[in-house]
Parts: sequence; C-alpha cells; structure tokens
Amino acid sequence: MRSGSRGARAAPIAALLALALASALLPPPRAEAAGTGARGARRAAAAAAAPPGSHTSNWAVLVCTSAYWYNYRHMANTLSIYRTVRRLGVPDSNIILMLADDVACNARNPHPAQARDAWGERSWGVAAERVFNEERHSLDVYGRDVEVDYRGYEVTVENFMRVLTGRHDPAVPRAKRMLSDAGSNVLIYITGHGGNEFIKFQDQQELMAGDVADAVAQMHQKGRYKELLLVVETCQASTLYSRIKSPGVLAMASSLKGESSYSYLTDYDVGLSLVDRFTFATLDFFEKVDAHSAATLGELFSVYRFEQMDSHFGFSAENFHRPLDAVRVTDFFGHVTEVRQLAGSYPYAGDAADGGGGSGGSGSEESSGGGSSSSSGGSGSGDGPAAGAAPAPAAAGVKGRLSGGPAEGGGEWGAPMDALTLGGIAGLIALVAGASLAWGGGADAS
Amino acid sequence: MKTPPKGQRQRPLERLLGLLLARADALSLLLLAAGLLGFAALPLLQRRISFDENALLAGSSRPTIRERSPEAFTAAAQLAAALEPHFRTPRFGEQLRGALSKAGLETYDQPFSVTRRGGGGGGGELRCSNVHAVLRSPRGDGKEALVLVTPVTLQPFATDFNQTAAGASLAVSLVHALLLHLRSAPWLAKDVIWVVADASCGLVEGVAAWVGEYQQTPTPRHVRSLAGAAPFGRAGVLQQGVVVEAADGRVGGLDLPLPGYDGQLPKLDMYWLLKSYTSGWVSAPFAGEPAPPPPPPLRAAAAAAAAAFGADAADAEAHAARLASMAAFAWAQARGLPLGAHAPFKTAAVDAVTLRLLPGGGGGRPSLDASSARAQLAEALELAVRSCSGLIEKFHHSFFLYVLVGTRHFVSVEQYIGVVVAPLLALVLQAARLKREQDEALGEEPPLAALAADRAQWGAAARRVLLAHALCAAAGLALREGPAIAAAAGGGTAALPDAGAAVGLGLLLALGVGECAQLLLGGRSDSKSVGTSGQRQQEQQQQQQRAAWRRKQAIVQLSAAAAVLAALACLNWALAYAAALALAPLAIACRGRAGAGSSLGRAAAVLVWALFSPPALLQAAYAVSGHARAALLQPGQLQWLLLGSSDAAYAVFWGLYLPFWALHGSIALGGR
Repeated sequence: MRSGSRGARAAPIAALLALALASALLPPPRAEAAGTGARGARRAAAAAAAPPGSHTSNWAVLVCTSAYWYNYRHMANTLSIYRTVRRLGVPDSNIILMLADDVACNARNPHPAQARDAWGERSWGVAAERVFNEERHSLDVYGRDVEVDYRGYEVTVENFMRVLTGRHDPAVPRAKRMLSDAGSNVLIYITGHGGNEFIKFQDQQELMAGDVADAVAQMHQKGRYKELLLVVETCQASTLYSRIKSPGVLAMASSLKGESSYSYLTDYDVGLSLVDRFTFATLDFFEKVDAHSAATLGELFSVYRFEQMDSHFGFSAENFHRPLDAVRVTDFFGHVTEVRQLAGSYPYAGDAADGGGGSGGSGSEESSGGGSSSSSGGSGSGDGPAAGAAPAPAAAGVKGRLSGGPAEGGGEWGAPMDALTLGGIAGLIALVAGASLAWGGGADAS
Repeated sequence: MKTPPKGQRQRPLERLLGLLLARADALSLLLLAAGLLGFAALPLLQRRISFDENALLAGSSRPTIRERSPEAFTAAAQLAAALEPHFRTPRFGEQLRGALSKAGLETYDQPFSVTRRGGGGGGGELRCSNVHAVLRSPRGDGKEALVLVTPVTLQPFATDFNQTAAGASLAVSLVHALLLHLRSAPWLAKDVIWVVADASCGLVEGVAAWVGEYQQTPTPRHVRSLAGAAPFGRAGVLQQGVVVEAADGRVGGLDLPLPGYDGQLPKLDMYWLLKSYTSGWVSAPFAGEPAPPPPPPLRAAAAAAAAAFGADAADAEAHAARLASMAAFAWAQARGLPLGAHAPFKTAAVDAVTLRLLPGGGGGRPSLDASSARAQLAEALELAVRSCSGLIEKFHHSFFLYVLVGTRHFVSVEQYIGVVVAPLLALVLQAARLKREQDEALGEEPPLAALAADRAQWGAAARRVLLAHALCAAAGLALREGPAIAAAAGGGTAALPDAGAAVGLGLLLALGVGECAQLLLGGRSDSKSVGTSGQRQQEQQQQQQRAAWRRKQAIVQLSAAAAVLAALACLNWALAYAAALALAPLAIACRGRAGAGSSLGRAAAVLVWALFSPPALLQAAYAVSGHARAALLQPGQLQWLLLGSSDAAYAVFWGLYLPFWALHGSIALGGR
C-alpha cells in the first residue's frame, strides 16, 4: 500500500527526469539508454548484436624482435601498436613491451628521442612526390612515457616464452610479468624478420611456429587467457600461427606462406622506411577508433588490401568461436575495468542489486538501472567528474529512501558522461528530485 | 703405385685410377680446353650487381649539403682560390692547416720516408708528410671512423702522380666543403677522418704510410713512417674509406679502379655504393660506359664463331666485349699491382675504394668545371658517408671475391674457381701419368738393385730441380735488387735494368740450352761409339736411364707446380690461373717420350715450347686484355715480365714458370 503510493508518486518525477535528460542529449537513441549517454547507447547497440564480451581484463604483449638502425621500422611498428593500445585504454601495467633496440636515441637518428611513424603523411599510393613537396606531419610514436619492459638483448625467445607462460625466475619483477587469468583477453603483436614457420630474434635465435603453439597451449591449460589475438607482421607471417590448436585463439598475419611483407615508403629525411605496410594499414584504421568505438574485427580485417600491401592479409579463426562481425576491436586493443559490487561492503548492496544486477555492464544499462559497472578505463577523465557529481547529491535522496525502500527513482544514477555541464544539470535535478522524494516520504511517514 | 700380379683383382679405386691414367693425355687436353672455354663462357654467368647489405640503406636519403650548408661551398671556393697559387710550396700546407683549424677540426702531421727502387728519380730516400684532420661525430660513440683521402703532391717534387694545381685545389676544397657540412649533420654516427696524403712520394705510398701508422699494420718495405714524438690523432677503428683522386681541375669522367695488392678487392657493395651515387648525382660519364669494343683479334674470333654457328653477330660481339673487359680485370688482378691508393686499406681490413676523376676531353660531352664538379661530388660523397655511417660496423653480407664484367655485372668466386681448377688438375694428372710410366718401366717385380737405383735417381732429379729453382730465383733477385745495389755502390743506374734483363735472359737460355747442348754432345759421343752389339746395348740402356731420369725431374717439377699454384689460387686466383694455363700445355706436349718421339711429335713439342716462351705469353696476355699494340715487343714490357710485378707474381714467374719452361725445353729439344 504505502510502497504503492510512493511508487505512484515517484513515477511522474522519474519520467520527468528522463525527459529532461533526453532533451539535454541530442539525439537520444533509446529512452532507456538516455541516462548513460551516447556511449552507452552505442555500447548497448553493440551488445544487442553480440553476446556480451565478458572478459575481465586486457593484456598486451608487444614484441619487436630485430635490433639495429636499419630495422627502425620494426621498432616503429611495435611502438605504433603500443600507442594504439595505450590510447584505447590499456594501462602500462598491462602491457609488456619488448624492444630489441633503441632507435630513438641512436646517433643515426636525425630526430633524437623520437621514433616516427609515417602515419598522417598521406594516403596510400600518391605519396612519393608529396614527401618532398609537403610538410610532413609524421607521428612521434615514442613520446615521453614509453615503458619498455624488455629491451635490447633481453628480447630473447626464452624471455618471450616465459612472459607468455608465466614461468619466471622468482627475481623477475611484477612489471615484467604478464599477470593474466582465465578472464583476460590477450593481444600478442610480434614483428621482425621471419620466414616459413619462424621469426628471428636479434639475428641469433629463432622462434618456431611450434614454440608459439606450445606456449599458447600452456597458456590455455594454465588459464592465462580467455581469448587471444595473435598479430604477426613479418615475411610469411601466416606460417607462424599455423600450428596453434588451442581454443579461443584468433590470429592475423601480414602475409601468407611464400610471400614477403613489405615496408612502407622511404622517408628521405630520416633516411629509411618508417613503418611496414601492414602495420601502417592497421594504425591507419585505429587512428579513427576511440575507446568507445563499436568497430569490429570484421571491419578491421576488411581494410587490408593486396594493392596496398603487396602481400595477402591472412587470418585464422578456426579456433575462435565468436563471429568476427560481433567482436569489437576494443575487446583486444582496448581495456575493460570491472567494478564489482561486493556484498556487505556497502549497506545498500541489496538495493543496487534490485536496481539492475550490477555485474554485466550492458545488462544494467538495458534495465535502465543505475549500475555503475563497466565503464571503460581509458575515458576515466570523462567519467570522473560526472560519476563523482552524481552520487554525492544523490546521497540525500538515498538517505531519504532509507526508510522509503527500493525500486523507485534511480534514473538519476546514470548521469550523462559527455560534459561537465550535463553532469551538473543532472546533479541539480537529482538534488531536486531527491529532496522532493525525501519530503514526500517524510509526509507519508508523518 | 705398382701393378699387381696378374690374376689378382684390383680394387675399384685402383681400376678407376688406372683408367684415368691410361687416358691421361686426352683428359688433360679436355681439362685444359674446359679451363679455356670456361673462362670464355664466364660472362654468360654474369649477375647484375645489387646491394647485399641492407644496413647501407642505399638510396633512402637525399643529399642536404646544398640546401643546408650553402656557406660550405663559398668557404670551399675561397680555400680553393687561396690554395691554387701556392701549389707545391710549403704555403699550401700552411693555408690548409689554417683552414682546418678554423673549421674547428683537429689537425695532425705525419712525416714519412720512401725509398724508391730505381725509376726516373734515380732511387734514394724521399721525405714527405701527410696531413690529417678529425671530425668527431657529435652523438656517436667515437668507436668507429670513416676515412676520406685526397692525395695531393705537397712537396716540390713528384714521382708517379702528375697533379695540376687545379686538381689539388678541387680535391681539397671538395672534401673541405663536405666536412663543413658534416659538422652539423644530425645523422653522423661515426667519426670522419680526412687524410691529405702526400702523393709526392708516390700515390699509394703516402696512404700506405698513413694506414700503417694509424692501424699499426706493417707497411711495404720501402715505406717508413717517421711519426715519432709528434702527436698522431686517432678516432675510432677505421671501417670504410673513399679516396678521391683528382689529377686535374676539370672532370670529364669517373673511374673506380678496384684491384689492390695481389688483386685483392674491396667489398662489392662498397664499389656499388660509389658507383650508384656518382652515377646518380654527378653528371660525368663513367669509364667503361658504354662498353668499349673488344680488341680486334677477339672481335674477329667472335665474328668467325658467329658465322660458323649461325649466331647473331651483334650478340657475339657483345659477348666478346664483356670477355675482354673481364679478362682485363683478371689480368690487372694477376699482375698484383695496386691500381689505386685504396690498396693499403685492405691490409688493415678496411673496405675502401678510389674514386678517380678523369681529366676527360673525349666522348663529346663537355667536362665539368671545378665549381659544379665540387658541388655534385660533394653530394655523392655525402650520401656515401651517410650510408657508411648507417652501416653497423663493417660489411657483413657482401662479396669480396669477384670479377667485374663491365661496370654493372660481376662473376663471383663459386663460378670462376672451376676455371682455375681445371688446368691445375691437368698438371696433377700429368704428374701422375709420368709416375705410372716410371713404375711400369721398372717392371712388374723390381729387383732390389733397380729399387736402389730408383732411389738414387729420384734424389738426383729432385736435386736438379732444386738447383734450377735456385738459379732462377737468384737471377730474379739479382735483377730486382740490382739497381738498388748499383745505387748503393754509386754507379750509374739508368742502363742497369736493361742490362739486368739481358743478363737474366742469358742465364735462362743457358739453363735451357745447356741441357740441350749436353744432350747433343752426349749423343755425338754415343754416335762415335756405334759398333759392337754390346756397346749398342749399353747405349740403349744409357738412353733409357736418361729418359727415366728426365721423367723424374718432370714429376718433381709438376707436383711442386701444382701444389704451389693450388695454394696461390687462394691468394690470387688470376695469377694461379695464368700460370696453370701456361704450364699445363707445356706439361702435355714437352715431355720426352723415351724412344717414341717421332720427328713430327718433336717438332710440335718444340713449337709449343716456343709458343709458351715468356715474350709470346706476354704478347698473348696483352692481346686478350686489349693492350696488344702497347706491348708489342717493348723492352720495357719484357723487363717488367722478367722482374715481376707484385711479390706473388715475381715469385711465381721466377720460381715456377721459368725453371719449368727451361727444363721442359731441354726435354723438348733434347728429344728421346
């Protein structure tokens, strides 16, 4: 009875709230998603198309196997992917970066402490004459905060295998280990000089296709990944993953058996080729992708063209069971941060669970509940103020609800993330609504 | 090798050897033909030169000197104008040092002395002084260095390098401009050393003295570094070098002479680097492009072959032209004399090439004037320095045993070595055949007495061969060092080499003909005593003994020749090939067949012996390499052949070829 009357009183307020928010955001794709903003809408749309990517963490192992100045492009390849995963939200603690040489500080580098990537200079094909005639806007992929975990002669087959399988000497610090688990999505990118079923490490050692398959099989048995994406940029790259039989492994290659992988245009200023074609195409794709993108691996796979690379893009999905059109690139190149609401740690856990479950991110959004789960780590700066603004004023409402009970209101929880002002408006509305609720509850009680 | 008693089965290897030796003459001829035809066919196997070394990053950058350092050219032009009037005076060196220290480079002097052997200067010791400057790479680790060398005649006198004042100022100002630019090059990872080598004492000698002092490697005997108390500045380990040899201020063409001491070559990539950069950035023609027509005898042979086999005459002539160019390259290697001042670097394991600026005039193309030549060459050299600076230490992947076929193609060692091995095998086969004959002449079951005689005969043969070698070597040594000895004694020297050559020829003929005369005398004494059957029997026995003895001589000589040549092939394949080609036909044709020489056979043997005489061989070699007219019985050329050229060629000529020729002449002339 009382709860019913409270519900009846609260409903119009909630509706009003939703309406106000919806008008504030343009264009609101779905009424339920209005509370979580455009990103949430996109995410919800993707989630509707695909089974939820339910991994709990992301790891990236990025390896450049060749040293020396003239292999600049391999360092730049790896740093390009490093830049991409950093930009899409993978924290440095979850990236194992292996660089066999330091080209940025090489005496031969005319731009000290920079590793340039040709991206941004031009589109495919017509570039040759524009190199001279136009000012370049090449990308500095070295930056100021690169954390190299294995460098120089530390980049060996042994260390690579140890990182994958997690079998380290006890003295190896945590920063040099991949601490993944059965819920982790792992990205492995490897580039260098290779051939049929091998890739060279430092001109001294070879990593064989059998070694890779063995390491991945161990990772599977030890529960070190949920899904694994192996990207190989070398000559005859597709042979390197040809022996992998472990489930959940997707592999991409810059070239097929018998083909060479080629470098992208020569930069006459730096005096060599800055990047390889496959990685250039990959970077070209990812520079248009942000942390909230719904771009899928299917879209990524369609950008590689023979006319641009002079080699055929290869991939292997035989061990991978999700349709590629449903796998977002951010499942591997981005990051997920799960906020778990633990029972007992917060007095209103039960309320929140009623509101929308709280474990699956998209699930909570669909029910328009206030679950604050599954926010992407990379956009933390956008999240922070809004998320911080919403609960604080709402605390008053919650306090009022303490005696009132669950199930009403709640629309204010998912504050818009897009801008501070929207967050402020939402907070204001929440304050008003909360106050009215509190006032109404008090009246009822009295 | 003894023939087993009848009825006993031979082992397969023995049977195979027997079969081979039974057909030794035919096989030897076949091998010889294969050696000759294989050489003629080598241009068919030619490969286009390409870079093996990725780290050179050739063609991946553009020269920046014009756009970034225009003031370098102005400074260089000023320096050139200031230097030119003081050519071959001490003021030249002073101004040069002043300009170098003004540019902020460390400058050092290195005095050295050269003892000339004979020649126009009349021998004696000459004193010269190299100057070098060091540019430290701002960000490099200082462990490696590149060398740029400009030979300049700094002293008032000159020996083998006729340089004009314009040539000296062009070379110096060119490298000066480049170094001024390199001071601010952000990519320079190795130090750059600029050596102004004093070419007054000889083009190669100045560089040899400097390299010897820098790397502490032994210099040639006649070159002595005098850098004692004076500081001699070093940079890192020398890795690559370029010698810019400018004789004149106007540039009509470019050349990259490759063979150094004993035909040793710099890495092929080093040649190709300079070749491609100068072709791309310097508008002067490259020597040998387009390929010159083959010498007339070769052209006639090619036309005849084309007519005979119905091949395209133009193709045949092009092949002949390639063959001639390859033969000229191989001949230069065989002579073993350095063709450029880069040769001493090879002894210090540094890959260096000489970029020779030809005065030009021919070809109808106008030659470059000094200022445009300076700018274009500076651009090409900048790229070469950048590529070498980008290289990690040394060349790791490039050929160093090769023969150039023209300017853009080469034949590598695995292709040409078979051509050398074929005539060497013919020598071995002949030695083995003679040994077999010897064993058979001894009979199936040699009695103990025969064996003892055999041993004594072997010893005598070996002694005789050794004596021949010693005689020839002594003659050669006397000829070679004669002028120096005469100069030390204070006598006149101008006519001495020619006199020495005459003495050498006389010794040689005495050696060859003396044997013949002895035989003739012996024969006369034999013919006198024709009479009783017992005497005849004794005479026959004597003759058989003499034939056996001569065979043994030939076996010893042949085995020694084959062994020495096989060893030599590792050092100087072209010299080994030429010597083997000369010795193998002699071995086949000029051996005394005991009691079986028909008059026709003997005539043929004598003809071959004459054909393979030193003057005839020299003439043939020059005909193949296209200098036939120049060589036509010039006393100077003959003198060169008698004296030898490089140490290896000298040793082979006096130690192997001449005794062999003389001994076999005695067999051919002496007959049965």
